[in-house]
Formats: sequence, C-alpha cells, structure tokens
Amino acid sequence: MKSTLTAMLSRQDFYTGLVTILVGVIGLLDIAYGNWRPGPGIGPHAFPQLAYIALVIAGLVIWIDVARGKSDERPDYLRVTLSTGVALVAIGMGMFWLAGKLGLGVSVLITLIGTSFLLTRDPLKHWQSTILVPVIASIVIWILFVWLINIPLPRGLLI
Amino acid sequence: MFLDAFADALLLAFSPEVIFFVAIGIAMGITLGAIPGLSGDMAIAILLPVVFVLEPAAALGLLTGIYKGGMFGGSISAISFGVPGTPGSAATAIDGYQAKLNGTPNKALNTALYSSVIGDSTSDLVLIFLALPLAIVALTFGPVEFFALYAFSLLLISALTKGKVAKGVAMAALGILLAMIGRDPVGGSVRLTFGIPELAGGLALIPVLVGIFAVSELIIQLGRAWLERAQRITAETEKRAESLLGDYDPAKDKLTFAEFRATWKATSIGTTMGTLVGALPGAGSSLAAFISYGLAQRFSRKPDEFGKGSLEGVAAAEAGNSATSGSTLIPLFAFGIPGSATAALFGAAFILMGMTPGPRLIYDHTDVIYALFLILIYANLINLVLSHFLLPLYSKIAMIQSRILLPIVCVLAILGTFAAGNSVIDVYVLLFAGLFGVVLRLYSFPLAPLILGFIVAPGAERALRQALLIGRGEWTSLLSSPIAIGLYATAAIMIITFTFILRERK
Repeated sequence: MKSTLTAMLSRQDFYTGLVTILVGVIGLLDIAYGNWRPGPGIGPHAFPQLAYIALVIAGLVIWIDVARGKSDERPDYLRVTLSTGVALVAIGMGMFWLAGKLGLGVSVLITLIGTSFLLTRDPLKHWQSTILVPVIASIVIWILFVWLINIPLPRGLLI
Repeated sequence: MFLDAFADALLLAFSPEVIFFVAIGIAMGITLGAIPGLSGDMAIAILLPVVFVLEPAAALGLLTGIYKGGMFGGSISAISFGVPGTPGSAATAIDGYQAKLNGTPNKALNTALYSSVIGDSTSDLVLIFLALPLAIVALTFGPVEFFALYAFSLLLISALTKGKVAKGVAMAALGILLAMIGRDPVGGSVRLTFGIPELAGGLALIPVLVGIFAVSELIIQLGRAWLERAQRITAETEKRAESLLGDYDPAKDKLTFAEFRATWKATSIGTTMGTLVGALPGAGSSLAAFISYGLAQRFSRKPDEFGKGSLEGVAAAEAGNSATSGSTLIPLFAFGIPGSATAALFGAAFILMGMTPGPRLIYDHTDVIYALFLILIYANLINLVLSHFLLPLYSKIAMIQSRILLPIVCVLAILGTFAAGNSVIDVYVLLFAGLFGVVLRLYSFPLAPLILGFIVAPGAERALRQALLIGRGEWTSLLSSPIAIGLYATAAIMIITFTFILRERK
C-alpha cells in the first residue's frame, strides 16, 4: 500500500489529477456557498456545476490511471519553456508600452531585432536574419496595420 | 432561386480578388506547413483578426488556401527530412523519408501531391453534397436534440483527441468554464469574473483561440530556438540528407503513370477512411492517416515494402490526411459544431464576419457558402499546379529555420488581436492564454476539446436550459427524443470502437 502510494506520488499525472480535482472541488464549493443569483429554470450555476463535476470525475480517472501505472512523462525543458512564456508576455506588454512612446513601427522594429539577437548565436555574423529580415518585416507590418487596417495606435517616429 | 444564388456564387468565387487570395493562401500554407514547428492552422489562427477587413469570399478564399496548402506542406518536410511539418503528415514520413533515402524523393513528393489532391477533392465533394441535406435535418431539431448533439461532439472530441479520455474531458470542462465567464445570457447575472469588471463582457473569442492555440505553440518553438536544438537538428538532417544523395540522378526519379496507377488502391483507401474519420468530431487527420496506412498495407499486394519507401504507403497516408479537410467541416456547416481545431478556426472566422455557423448558415448566406464550395474545389487545382512547378523550391523552403520567422509571427498575433477588438485587455488575455496553453501542452492536455468546449458552451447551455424548461425541470426529458438517444448511443459505440483502434495502433 505504502509502495503504491510512493509510486503514485512520483508520477507526473498524480499532480495533474490533483490540480484538476482541486479546481473542480473549489468551483463546487463556490457554487454551494458563494454569491450566485438564482435565475430562470435551472439557474445560471447549473452548467458551470456540470463542468466542475466533470473536472472532479476526470481528475479521479487520471488518478486511477496513475494507480494502474499509466502516466505521461515529465515535460522536457519545463523551466526554459515557461521562462520563454513569461519573457514573451513581458516582451508583448513592453512592445505595447513602447508603441505609446515611440510609435508602432519603431517599437515593432526594436522588438524584432531584440528577439532575433536573443535567438541567434553570433547575431552580427547572421545580420541578414537578425537585422535585415526584422527591418523588412517591420516595414511590412507597419504598412499592413497602419495603412491598410488603420489600427488606432500612435505612429510616433514613423508617421 | 438556386440558379440565382449559384450565379452570384460563381461571380464571387471567380473574381480576380478571390483567386488572388486563394493562391496567396496556398503559397503561404505550403510555406508554413513545410517548416517544422509552424503549420497552416497556426497561420489561420494568426490571420483570423485580419479577415474582417476583407470581403467574406476573399477572406474564406485566403483561409481555405492556407488550410489546403498547409495540409500538403506538412508532407514536404516529412519526405525531405523525416520531420513531419504537421501532425497529420507523421504517417507520410514513414515511407516518404525512406523513399528519399532510397534516392526517389521526387517520386514520393509527387505521389503525396497527387494523392493529397485526390483525397482533398473527394472530401470536398462529400461536404458539398452532405452539408445541405444534414442542415435540412438539423432545422427540425429542438433543444433536446441540439443538447444531445453538443454532448455527442464534446464526448467524441474529448475521447478521441490524442486518445486521452480523462484529460480530454477535463479540457472540455475547462473550455466550458472559460466560456461561462461574464453575463449569464438567460438571467443576466454576472458569473466567474472574480470581481474584475472588465470580465463582465466575457472572454473574446479571438484572444482565447489565438492565445491557446497559436501563441502557446510559438512559445514552445521559441523555447526550442533558444536552446538551439531545432537549429542543430535541422542542420544535421540537412547534412545527412545531402550526403545520402551524393549520387542522386533526377532523371531516374520521375513518377511514371504506371507507378501512379499502382498507388490507386491505396489512394482510394486513404480517401475513403480520411473522409469518414474526418467527419467525426475529434478524430483528426493524424488518426485518419495512420488508419489509412494500416488498411492500405493490409490490402496491398506488396505489404512487405511498407516502411521501406513504398509509394503506396505515401499515397495512403497522404490521401487519408488530406481527405479529412472537407469532411471535418460537415458538422460545422450542418449543425454549427466544429469537429476539429481547424473547423473551430473556420467557425470563428464565420462569427467574425457576422455569419453564425449552423443549419441556417447555408440559407442566410447562400451566395457566400456556394462560393466557398466552389473555392474548395478550384483551390485543389491551384494547389496542384503551383505545387507541381514549385516542388523543388518548396523543399528548400522547408530548410528555413523557424527561429527567423517566430518573432514576426508573435508580433503579428499580438497586433492582429489588438486590431480585431481595439482592446488592450484582449492583448493581455492573448498573452496569458498563450502561457496557460503552454502549461497545458507541457502536461499533455489536448487543446482541441478546450477550444470546442469554449465555442459550443453558450449554445449547449442555452439548449440544456430550454430543454429543461420545456421538460419542467425533469432531467429525464433529455432522453425524450429518439434522435437524442441515438446520438448518445452512437457516441458510446464510437468511443469504445476508436479506443480499441487506438490501442491496436499503439
């Protein structure tokens, strides 16, 4: 029994099942004790309630699979991928902030050149892909979004 | 009436603008499909916010072109480098790459092209001739039947996507919950906003769809590019392929008519299976390609050649993969339910253009839908001609390192999402949805059920509440219709059957 539990705890899907169940249980508790207004028929809480119940059942089935020895492998490069995701969120928000200061064209150019430099070894040696391609892409993007689609963003240095 | 609509559709479909966008879409789809890590679906997701500035026929032409081009593009890198450009072309890589190593890449690429076009065209014809009769049947459906149909689709897509039933169900439930954020459409009360007033209007379709589907994949690819793994793999593959083809003679590598005729049975099997499997919610092109490959081997006169560069293997896999393209749209056109991630993207495009997917779509927008049917057919011809002449170039395109394009695609996704709603909140939702999608991908949760859950939840909730109001709150009233019972029973039978097939495949 103890060894089964230890084996389960070492498997990746034990934790994905746990999170799935927790989300479902917290949602069901919210529906039971939270501030849900009644509505016509079965009310606005019924459909979310079904979804929460499905989450709890799915989590339990994941646990049953784990107990039977079935589990997905631990993800490769977890830290790098998540760091890249967080960096992309920061870069995306930064680009929007910069667009308000310098204009869309310049902020896109800085973003593209910056990310190309980050992704390329010896970026100056590969100047075609780290400088030339971003410059051309920025011009095309500027024409597409400012001239053709006319999105309401500041034009800044490129009027 | 029909002739008038058809004449209008002809004018729309064959206008120079639409033909231009179809050709651009095909070239774009093949290019992105050929580059491992990028795909036609991703291109459709990124371009969704842009479609509302185009005329509906031109926008649908562009998306159709990307879709069809992307389907074939995936097989180019599968055959040229053994790296499937899209999941659907994984089965093509088995024999395609072996054919390349045997010194016959051109034969394999041409077999893939012809079988892909045959499978795709047949599937489109099935869509055209089935969508209308099914839509007529769907018009007679009440809330009980529609709820059963929504449940049928959600169950199938949850169970069949990647063969992970529990994780699929969890994702469908999560998609439903994301769709519930905002005002209750019946009573008007606010749900699941966690006190954030900006969420009262609900989550917009575009940022959720593009974020979870495309941005998450982009983040993973960017992470790989950061590690320079993709660069090394591609460089190694290129070097190995070049060394193996040191004495390559192009004159000996032309597909003859006799060779093409010998693949006819495999192509027919792939076309039939792909069309059938494609029409099922969640089954997907990858499953269709592998089932077709397995059946073609079983019925082949030379089963031993499979896995060693057999052109029959390439034809079956590629026809099976491509034959899902038309039939996967059948549930969307007939019932308003997207059966795959691609169909969900097309559904989102219809919604953006003010057209509600479902049985009334064909009646309310007859000219545009008939034009789309015509585009589906002639896009295959454009694909055939373009690809035939540009195949050598496409093999080189597959060598473009994705790290060059990834930042540009990310910027396009962000700006496109902003352009669609003029809302900075949408951009934040896009970025965080992308991050959330990454976590789900890393922990092997299938994303298609989440997208389907998000899209069908409002309709499913409306149908359930109407059905229960009519049934005076009795849940047994959901089983009051023979059609509904039939749908639940069919879902159960299909889940059991396909679970068995998936286990056999493993």
